Order: sequence, then C-alpha cells, then structure tokens
Amino acid sequence: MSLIRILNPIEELAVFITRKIGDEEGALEEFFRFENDAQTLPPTGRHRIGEITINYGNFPLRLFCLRLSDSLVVLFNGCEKTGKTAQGGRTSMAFSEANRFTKRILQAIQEKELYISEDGRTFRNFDDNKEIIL
Amino acid sequence: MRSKVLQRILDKTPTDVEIFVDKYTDLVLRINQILREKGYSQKNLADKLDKRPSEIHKWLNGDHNFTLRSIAKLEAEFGEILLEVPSRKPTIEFSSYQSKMTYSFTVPINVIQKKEIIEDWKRATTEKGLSNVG
Repeated sequence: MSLIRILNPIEELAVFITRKIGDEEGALEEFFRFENDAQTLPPTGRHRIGEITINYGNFPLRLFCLRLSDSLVVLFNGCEKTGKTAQGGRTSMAFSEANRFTKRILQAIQEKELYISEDGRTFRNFDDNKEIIL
Repeated sequence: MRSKVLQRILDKTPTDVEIFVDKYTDLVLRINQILREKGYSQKNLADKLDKRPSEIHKWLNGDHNFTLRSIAKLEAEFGEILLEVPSRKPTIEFSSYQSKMTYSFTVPINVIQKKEIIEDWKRATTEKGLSNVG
C-alpha cells in the first residue's frame, strides 16, 4: 500500500473522527455503516460492528469500531478496503479482530468487569482502574 | 487522551482537507435531516427527480461525490437551501490624503434584507500612503 496514496484519506478520517464526531456532532448513527453478518452480532443483538467511513464516493479506508452510544465509540483497527465485503480483502484481519474485541467488551460489561463512566464517555475497570485488560 | 500519532497527523493536515471534511459532513447531515423531515424515501425521491433508485442510493450512501449540479437538483426538489455562498460587498470607502480604507461586510444571501443580524464590520483593505514623500 502506498503511503502517499492513502495519506490524504488518513488525514480526512482523522479530522472526521476528532472534529466532526468528537467535538461537534457526536457519534451519530448516520456516520457509520453496520455489518449485517449474523456472526458478528453479540448475544443481545443491540450492538454491531460498525465501519467509520466518510460518506463520499470511493473513500478507500475502513476503520472498524463498536458504537455503544452517541458519545461512546471504541475504535479498533482498520485498513484499505480492497474487497467487496469487510470479511474479504485487506480488511479481513482487522474485521476479525474487531469482532473478537467486541464480543469480549460486551461480555465484560455484562459481567460487570467493565462499567461505563457517569458522563457516558469512557470505560472503567470494575476497580476504577483506567487500564483495561480484556 | 489523544494518541501522539493521531495528533501528529492532525498537526500536519492541510487546512483544505479540514474544510472539505467539515463541509461534506454538514452537507450529508443536512440532506438526511431534510429527507427525514419531509418523509422522503429513496424511491420517491428517485421518482421525483426522474432518476433510477440505484443512482439516488449512490448519492445518499457515499458511492458518489456530490456535484454542484446534483446539489442544485436536490435543492430544487426540497425547496430548501443546502449550500450557501456568502456574498461580500464593499459598501463604503474612506479616503484621505495619506490613506484609503475600504470596509466590507458579509451576509448570508437568504437574510440579506435583515440588517440587524449583519456581522461586525471588518476592515477589508488598507493602503497606506507614503509619509516621507516631499
């Protein structure tokens, strides 16, 4: 992958995540694409792996995430999109990782190993430690 | 806490990239907001614009870069402004022996008659005369 070719989209994605989502609008549902693969659904069926992508033609990158609310999103890895689906092409590894992390995070919340802070913007370990080991 | 890598990317991001992401995101949000408010489905929007539903799907789901023409079509159909270009008009000039100053102000085009919300006056240009001549 040529770094020069993807440098501009990386910058766009960085601005999109920090300024538009982080500072201005929040993690609105319309900023995300959700994978429909039933394998990726956690048991509750309420959360799915999302892709953060800027909504214009042929945006080449995909960043996987778990969107829990308008103010809490867990970012995972991503990659250049080369296949038709997230499971194919270069994104397959990042997508598979995102699924594993998502299942583990949701399980940890259900088992109260993790909780969401009062302001709804961060996770904390059950003992209030900021460092989280899944 | 923001990662150092992300901060480095943001620090090096050119201003035009920031402007593009800002405006494009706002445009997509505005279109989605109007669609919801007016109860449009992609199919009836396609019918009204005499386009194929697949083309409208591309417009609204990021497989297509908006052009000024497609925005104009949407504005005409919605009867709403999607993009606004400020019009800057110099309105007054002060001249003296040594200097000339032009003051201008910018107003949004759809509220041009409402004087009370005109923005603060700003100095647009200053040409200083030569003080040591003669």
